Amino acid sequence: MDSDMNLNLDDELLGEFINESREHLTTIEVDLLAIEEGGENIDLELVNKVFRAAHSIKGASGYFGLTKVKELAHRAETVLDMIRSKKMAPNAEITNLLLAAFDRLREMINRPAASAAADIEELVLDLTGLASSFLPPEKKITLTQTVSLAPEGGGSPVVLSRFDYERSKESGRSLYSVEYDLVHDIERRGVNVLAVFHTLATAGEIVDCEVNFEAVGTLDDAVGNQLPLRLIFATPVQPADIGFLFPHNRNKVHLLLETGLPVGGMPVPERPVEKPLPAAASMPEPLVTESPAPVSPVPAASVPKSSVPEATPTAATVAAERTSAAPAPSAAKPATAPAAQGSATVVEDSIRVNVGTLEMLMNLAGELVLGRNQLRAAIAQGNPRALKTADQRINQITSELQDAVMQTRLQPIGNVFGKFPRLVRDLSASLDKEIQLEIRGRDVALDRTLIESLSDPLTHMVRNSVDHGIESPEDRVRAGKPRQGNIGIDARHEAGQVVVEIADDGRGIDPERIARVALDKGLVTPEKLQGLTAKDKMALIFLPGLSTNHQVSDISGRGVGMDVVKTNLDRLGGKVEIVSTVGRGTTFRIKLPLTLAIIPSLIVSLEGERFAIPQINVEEMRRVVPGQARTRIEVVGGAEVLVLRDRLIPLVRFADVLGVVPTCAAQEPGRREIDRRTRLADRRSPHTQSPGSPLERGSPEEMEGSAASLSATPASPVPGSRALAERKPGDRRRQGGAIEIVVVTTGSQTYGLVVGGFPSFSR
Amino acid sequence: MAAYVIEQNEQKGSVKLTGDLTAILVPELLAGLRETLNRGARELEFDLAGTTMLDSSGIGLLIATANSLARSGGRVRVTNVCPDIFRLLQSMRLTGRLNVTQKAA
Repeated sequence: MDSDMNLNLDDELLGEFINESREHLTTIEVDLLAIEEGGENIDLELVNKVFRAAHSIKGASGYFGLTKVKELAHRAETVLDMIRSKKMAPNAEITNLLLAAFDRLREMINRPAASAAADIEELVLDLTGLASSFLPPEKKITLTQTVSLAPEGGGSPVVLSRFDYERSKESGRSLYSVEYDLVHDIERRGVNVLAVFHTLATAGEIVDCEVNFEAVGTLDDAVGNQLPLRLIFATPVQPADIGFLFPHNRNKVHLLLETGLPVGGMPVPERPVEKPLPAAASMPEPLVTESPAPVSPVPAASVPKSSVPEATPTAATVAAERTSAAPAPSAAKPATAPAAQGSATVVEDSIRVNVGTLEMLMNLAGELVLGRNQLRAAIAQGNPRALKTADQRINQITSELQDAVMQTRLQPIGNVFGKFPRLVRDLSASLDKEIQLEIRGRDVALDRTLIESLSDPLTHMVRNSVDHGIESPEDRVRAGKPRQGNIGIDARHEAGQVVVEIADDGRGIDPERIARVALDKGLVTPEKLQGLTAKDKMALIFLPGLSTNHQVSDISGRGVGMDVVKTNLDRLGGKVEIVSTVGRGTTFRIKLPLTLAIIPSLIVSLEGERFAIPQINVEEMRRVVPGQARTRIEVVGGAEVLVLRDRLIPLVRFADVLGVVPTCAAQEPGRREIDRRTRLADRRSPHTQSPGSPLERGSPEEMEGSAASLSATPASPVPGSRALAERKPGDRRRQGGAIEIVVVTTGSQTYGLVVGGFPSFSR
Repeated sequence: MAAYVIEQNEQKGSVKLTGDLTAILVPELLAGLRETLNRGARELEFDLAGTTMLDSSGIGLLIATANSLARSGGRVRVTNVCPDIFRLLQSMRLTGRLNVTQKAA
């Protein structure tokens, strides 16, 4: 197939292929690690899952002309097939290599246009070498060689991968070539083609099928006259009985026999296979006509891969030898680099939505249309009762619709956790630590925007736990702990939020040490330090500049520091807490909102404009009535502060922040004048339209998704606002003169935002 | 009773099938397809959502359509294929050539 013909990046099909492949690849990492953990006890279902993923990628990439993707997927598939058939027991080396191969596949699939230039030679050689090293010596060549098979009784020969051929032979299956015409030999004999293929799939394996497309012709020809094809079929059914499978076409079925000589090699770039395979030039050189030249200068390029070691290496010995081999294959090293590459976030532009949710959306859309019709009819009839019913109905549907749409945005947090097993495994290997990772709550759903943004901060925290948290096995033993450290990642819902905890049983964080470092770096003053609790001192770890003081390693001393982690989480509306005991371990607890699409907010209106303060930032709301102003509001150093229990909170006027001059309704109807009142007493004086209570509950509609609604000016009540309409004059008098303060926290700052009351608090 | 509807929007055409794609329907459908191609269609989608049976003539028709379209640089797509038919086309190594996609679960 023309390699470029089908590669059109706007192609919808290619897009589908990329999306599907990405989905396959997301789970592969976790599955491979689980397979490695299983060791000899191979979970066939899991291996089959990964095998199928590699197989799907191989199949589709071939069609799109992504030859390198196809080639690499094919090599990985071969290794997986050997694990599946228990010829190879998975271990760390094999997993590393497979992980590296899938990393490269991911890179190529993410940038299909550049995949042709990708360097896969080394990986291909390593995978081939690996498969080869686990094969009995005489079979090593089968991976790179094809074999010519001749149909018994004559006919054109068939070229097949020798590996496939050997595989069939070993499992006691015979290979047959079946050449027939699906129209003449099947359909016109009254046989159902679906049934024929179903029978064949049950009785054996269709190794290959070649349809003669030219013979079928085009629409200008007489369609339906012929459909010739040749099947290569592997089955345990003996030649004497094969007629039962092909009752009408026994004469078209021929047993395939080896002609004797291998006919060539598959295009594998040459390079000596790793040391365990001593050189022996007894086998013919595989053909390498289409393969690129080897990247590295290899003087021994003529050493064939078909070398025959003296004994069949076992999984363990090969692994050991591979590790000790001087020029170890790159992929056999703990794959920190691939892990980093793998984590390079590619923003997904499509998501999977549960069919049930889609159905619900469809139903609600239908309901909404009915509601609209009802509303229009009620308006046309001028029927207030019907109008109210329609209003209720639309209100209910809208709420349900909002919930359903939100459901589509929620994705399992496991999508982020998926990369941690490998991260921890690779990092602990490179640091010579022993770490067990436990992940709980993969299914906890979170807004996809949050999930994408959460990946980096979480990765940093996990890296920190591995690098700084968990001690070396020797240190742990000295401290009376088990050699193996534990890191637990846990996600759960709690009080309408998502809580993610990263806990380790490592050395813990010493708040005094953090405080000393912060002091040395001049990040805090000694006076400030004195008033800090242990928890506050621990929180100093989030100060910018402190992170660089940690012992810098190649793992967590670089990149974002804890200050950036906190900044990122703040941006997401999240909070992070640390609980740590020296010598016992540390827990980072992150609290996140479920979604960013709807931000529950407090609505404040000022001078006819309405503003939303995210509820997450609102600590509390205070109303200071005139009688309390003297005790509740003080002036410290020329600045007004609110005395809130045992805290002094600086006050900021909302109007000042926005740079607007507050106005109030003048005596004459419809006119407003600058609010010059400065004393609380002025506030209490009866006024035709004095500012009403700044704290007004909004109408039920307004309350949707908002904490409450504050109105600093009563001049323009929201139409339909029952709270305003139903307010009694007495209420106004009771509330008149109060200063309304919203206590707002952003980052480490807390202040009181004066949203209603007088321009000045002077008493 | 098998039936089909062909719709064409300039170079894109779609064939929606009701019932099975077998030798009974092929001659009639063939005429419709020829006409569609003559009107300039370069991409044809066969929607097999309502099809559970495909025989050799049906497969032949899909291949012939793909062959005809390939001449003008066009292509055929076969969508919403039921699992049985998908397995058949997969066994015949036709899913790539015919751009076959399965029916969503």
